[in-house]
Amino acid sequence: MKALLIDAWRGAHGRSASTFVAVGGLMVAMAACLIVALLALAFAEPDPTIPAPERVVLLDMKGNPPGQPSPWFAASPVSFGTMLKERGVPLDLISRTSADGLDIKIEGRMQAALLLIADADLVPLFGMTPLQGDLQKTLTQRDSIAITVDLMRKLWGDISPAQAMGRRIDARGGLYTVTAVIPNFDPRTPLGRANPMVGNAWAMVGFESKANPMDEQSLAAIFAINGHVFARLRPESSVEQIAGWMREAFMASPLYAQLPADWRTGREAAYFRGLTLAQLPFEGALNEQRWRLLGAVAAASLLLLLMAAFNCMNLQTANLLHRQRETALRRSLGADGRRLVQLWGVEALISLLLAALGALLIAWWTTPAIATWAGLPAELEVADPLPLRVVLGLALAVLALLALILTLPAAMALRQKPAPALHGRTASEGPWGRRVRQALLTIQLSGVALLLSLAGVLTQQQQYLLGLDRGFETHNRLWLGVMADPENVPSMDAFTAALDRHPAIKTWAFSNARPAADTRGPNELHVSASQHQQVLRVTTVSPGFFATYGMTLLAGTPRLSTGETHVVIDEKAARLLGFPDPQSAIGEVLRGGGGFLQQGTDLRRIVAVVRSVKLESGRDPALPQAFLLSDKPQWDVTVHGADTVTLRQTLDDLWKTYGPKLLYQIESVDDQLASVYDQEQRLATMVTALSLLSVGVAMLGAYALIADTVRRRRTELVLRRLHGADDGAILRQLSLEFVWPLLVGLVIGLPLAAWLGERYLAGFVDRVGIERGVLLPMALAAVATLVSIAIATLRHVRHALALQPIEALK
Amino acid sequence: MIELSQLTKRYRTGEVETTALDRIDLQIESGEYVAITGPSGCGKSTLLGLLGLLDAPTSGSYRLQGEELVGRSSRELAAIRRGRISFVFQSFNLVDEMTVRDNVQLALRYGELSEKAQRQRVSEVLERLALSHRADHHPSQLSGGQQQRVAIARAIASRPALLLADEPTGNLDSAHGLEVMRLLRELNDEGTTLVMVTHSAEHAALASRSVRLLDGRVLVDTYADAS
Repeated sequence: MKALLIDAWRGAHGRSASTFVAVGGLMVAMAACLIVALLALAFAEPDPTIPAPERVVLLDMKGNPPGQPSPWFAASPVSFGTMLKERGVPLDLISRTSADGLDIKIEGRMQAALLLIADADLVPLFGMTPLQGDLQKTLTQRDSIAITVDLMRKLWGDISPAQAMGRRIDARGGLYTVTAVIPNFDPRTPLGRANPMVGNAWAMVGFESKANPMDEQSLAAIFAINGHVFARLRPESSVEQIAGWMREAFMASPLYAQLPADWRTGREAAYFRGLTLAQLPFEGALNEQRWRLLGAVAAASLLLLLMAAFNCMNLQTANLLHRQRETALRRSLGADGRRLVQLWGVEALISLLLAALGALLIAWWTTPAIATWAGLPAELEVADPLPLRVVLGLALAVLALLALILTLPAAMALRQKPAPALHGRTASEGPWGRRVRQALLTIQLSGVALLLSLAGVLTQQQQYLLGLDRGFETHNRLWLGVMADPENVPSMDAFTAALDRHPAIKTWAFSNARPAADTRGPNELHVSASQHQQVLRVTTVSPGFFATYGMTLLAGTPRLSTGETHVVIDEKAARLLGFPDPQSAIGEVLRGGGGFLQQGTDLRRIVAVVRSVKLESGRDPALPQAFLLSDKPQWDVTVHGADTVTLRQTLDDLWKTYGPKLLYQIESVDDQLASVYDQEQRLATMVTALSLLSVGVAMLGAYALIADTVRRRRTELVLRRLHGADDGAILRQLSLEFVWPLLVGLVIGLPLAAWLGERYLAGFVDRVGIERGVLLPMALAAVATLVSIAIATLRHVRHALALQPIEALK
Repeated sequence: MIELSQLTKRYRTGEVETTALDRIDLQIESGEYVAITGPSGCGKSTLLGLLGLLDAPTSGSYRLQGEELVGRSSRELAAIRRGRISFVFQSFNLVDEMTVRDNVQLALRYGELSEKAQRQRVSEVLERLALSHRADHHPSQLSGGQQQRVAIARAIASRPALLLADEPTGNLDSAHGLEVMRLLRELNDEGTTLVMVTHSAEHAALASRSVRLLDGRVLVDTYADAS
């Protein structure tokens, strides 16, 4: 065995160039697959601190009002926790949770935190173990509060949990005693997401706590998604039964009869289901998008791996044919087919193991950064240590690749008779072998064309989305957001006066939503005097909002009034509400302000109409918009100036000088808009990176093929020269080796790319045109594939052109 | 037909200059059968390369059918070579991936003949060399003698005025060697000018003229007895 290993190592080392090509390509492709696998595991893994997550369920609901079906929320009204408990369904430790913000006063400043309101049963259900104190008891008391280590450190610095016990927290107009300190939540917790401004600074109270903002009506609501309900399945119950139990509880509720009759007559007003925590990472719009992205990247990575494996197969075929004399000699010395395959297998295995080792190192080193970039929490250890499952998967992949890259070349090499080779006559691989190798190159080139085209489609669509006319401007605008109770935003008079005075600020406005980033918002039914009914998306803004965002006024003036509510609508809303033109809407009164999709009694006078505005993402249709005018401070402030650098500095200085002592964040509105398409941008970047890697791998393949072609056809090319072939004729001969693989590769890759690209674009309401979005990327991909082949073959083509006829005499 | 005057070829490898041919004067008439002999390294193959326009002399003059060829571009030389000069090699230089037919047709690929005429010509020469039944075989399926016959077929397919043979029997056993020599004799009898490099005194004796080289110079230039 030792001799075999030494022999194989010498062989691999002796062919260092081809070993390098094989190992390099495989290593990159394996690393891409490993990174995808590590990300997939990190996405799929439920919170490991929760015991038996496959038996812990989350109640889920989706509303189904006529014409307004909602998606699954992976959440539900918290009332279902109470109702199911009362109905005695076979679930244990039914626990409600709801999340909110919490402003804590400490030493004259405000410290923002996240507040989790939870039932005490959540503690045994989630296996929560406090570092100090009694968490379960804390959640049953009105004045007690539990805090995470992060919040403890934010409030009091580097103290121990024992030192935090008994300290008082001043929030929401009351004092709360810290009676438990808990570890930070695992990044995968289903209880809530960390906030970029607050991090993992969580406080926990019970539903009986004074800090719980939910009133009786909210706690009993059956059609408001206001929290989560978790429970443990009893051994005899299954997750599928939950839908039925929820439906029965929903329909038995006295509030069910208060739903509009047309919601519930002869139809389901809502749908229900249970999800285990193991299923949760695969549910919800964000997760679906995330898995779609990962699926696409995984497919591209596997294609890359296949291309690299084909390269190895090609090189292995060339190597074994090149070594016919050595093989014949080994046979003459008594080596049978099994021993030869053993030798070649160990040689190939050395390359594969080197590639696998390199891939593991690359994955271990780069995955944390890629995971953070892909949206996973930075504190999640995705690759340290590398999960055993991933390492075992890699080992299996190595064995599968070994079989793939060895079988065909070994079969071809063993078919050769040893005697002629020993006499110095080596056989060629024959037309069949050449065709197989061309077929492998064809598949590689189709992969390149496919990935390059898709990268082009994704990039074009991304550019289209970012450049789309949404009816408002984003350049040279900055947003300042504060962490504050939306109902109780402190006075900002000094700050707004400073904004008015400062020359760097052209205009500014309050709003309760960020037009570039908040793609969803509250919808309310509005009824015009002519009894036209229309659901409008409602945003509360100050009058300067329209100038600040560069919206085009079509009629009227956005102005406030005492005594009545003024509203600005967009052109689309005006049309749908039955106004023949924008001007005719001015002065008209709308009735709105009802509950979810129900008629209200608030009267709102239309004072202006702006050109249609799209606040929704490119995946959703534009809703008609209503902007309620208010001069009350809101938690979003947008300023418009000449340039963002000066503007940022000015805004920062003014807030620090004149603003209330609240946590704040400044972002450019351009960045906010880009953040809406983060997932799409990540997909485009990953596919582009993989497509460039695939170009590299295919170039290595083409390089190896042309090198072998020129070596193999040297005599023929010299003879052609001898018989009068000029450079063009030689070039044509060499091109023939690549013309069919290239043409067939494009014929396979481009239509597939067009189909996949169209499927991707079909997911958007706003999508780039077919010419720019699909045909142009395909054309560019075809040219890029051709150019990459030309570059890869340039060196050997020049070598072939330099062959002189006199070499026939040598 | 061929007139070499003071033809010299020197090679330089680093600081070392080697004179492969030293001021050769040689005239070969049309229809002659010339054997070039001499020890290894005497310049035989260099002379053959120069005669076949595969290499350029360092100095001197080379006139073919009255036309001065020294100083011509490689493109012009290729055009002159095409159809007028052919080669037979010691190692046959057949292309493994091509059939016998394709190997022979290769000599006509870059000429003026139409595809149909090329195929017609190939069939004729294969017939003549008794290789028709092997037309669709690959070189690896043939014996050494058959392979050299294919090489000769390729060489004569373009009906060259000058046939240059470099050790044509070097890789063959004596029986096959004699067969090849007989073929070359026939071609010469039909009017083809033949220049053959050989180590074999026996095969050289079959030529009408023998030129012996030594250290790049013509040592002996003798004609066979006309009788």
